[in-house]
Amino acid sequence: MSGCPSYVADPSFQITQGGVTGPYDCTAHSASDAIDFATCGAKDPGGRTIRLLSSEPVPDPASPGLNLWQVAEVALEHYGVYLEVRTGARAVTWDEYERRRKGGQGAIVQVSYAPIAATKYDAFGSTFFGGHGMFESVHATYDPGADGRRTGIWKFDGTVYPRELMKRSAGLLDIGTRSVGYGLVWAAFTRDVIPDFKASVPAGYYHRFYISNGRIVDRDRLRTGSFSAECSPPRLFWWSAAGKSYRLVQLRGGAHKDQWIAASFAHEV
Amino acid sequence: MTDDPIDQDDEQAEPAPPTDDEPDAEPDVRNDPIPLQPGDPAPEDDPAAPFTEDPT
Repeated sequence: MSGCPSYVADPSFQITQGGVTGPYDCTAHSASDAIDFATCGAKDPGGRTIRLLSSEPVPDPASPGLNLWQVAEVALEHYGVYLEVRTGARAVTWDEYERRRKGGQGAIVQVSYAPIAATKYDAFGSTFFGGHGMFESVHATYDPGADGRRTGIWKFDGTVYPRELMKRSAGLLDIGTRSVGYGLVWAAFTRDVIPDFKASVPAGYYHRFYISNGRIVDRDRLRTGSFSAECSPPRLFWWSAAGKSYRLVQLRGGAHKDQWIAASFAHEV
Repeated sequence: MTDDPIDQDDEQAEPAPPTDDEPDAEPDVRNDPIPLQPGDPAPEDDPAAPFTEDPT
């Protein structure tokens, strides 16, 4: 939850405040709202700054948006705000999402905009129906496009969007070959503290990943009699050869110090 | 740090190809670009990030 539950974050708007990359930066602006919320207003960087601090300051024309992991990395490294990313196999149920939000955690949620575009909350004049990033807290729903910049564009009014609308939008998010599924949510949650992580690898084989320029370039398989060590929080790395990304942690001590291994070996302590 | 003392026997095996059943693998899902419309503010010229492609 937030350390100041009554604090209401200021909205960050991607079109009117986002500069040259604004149209690509809903997730970055949502991350700015999350940082604002988590720090009770002490840090409010704006989405444009999040983009410039990200691993992709110049958008890749093939996929110019950002993912939750990229903005979580900026939040942690530059603002000391840990965002717990729950995507892929670790997506949360809608019930858990709501329990966390009502309990005081902020959340950047990835949605399909199609259901929202069909309502009065449409912030893009019936021209956008794709994947979108938004921020939600117990106080309000923050759509980075909802600046009321002209007639027909929804203007942020500090309310929480209807829950069934958000549930449907989250479930319809396109994740490549399918949608997330009704009742599931891909989101990144604010936390009170930066948790410590420990990796525990049982006897047997594990993969050591090689990282270059922020991407996985190879991995090999090692045998161990088991070990455990402190490690970094999970991060997501793209691997071209696999055509997908992997959650990895970096070991911070012991005989395997600096190795990158699968985050499924790690847990919060 | 709590390395277990029995871990002294790493040995490298053959590279393992990616598989589809790994819990740590997931698609890279990014937000989609917003198409600007007449009446929307034009993106400002920003030398800090010289990205000039038309987002539409």
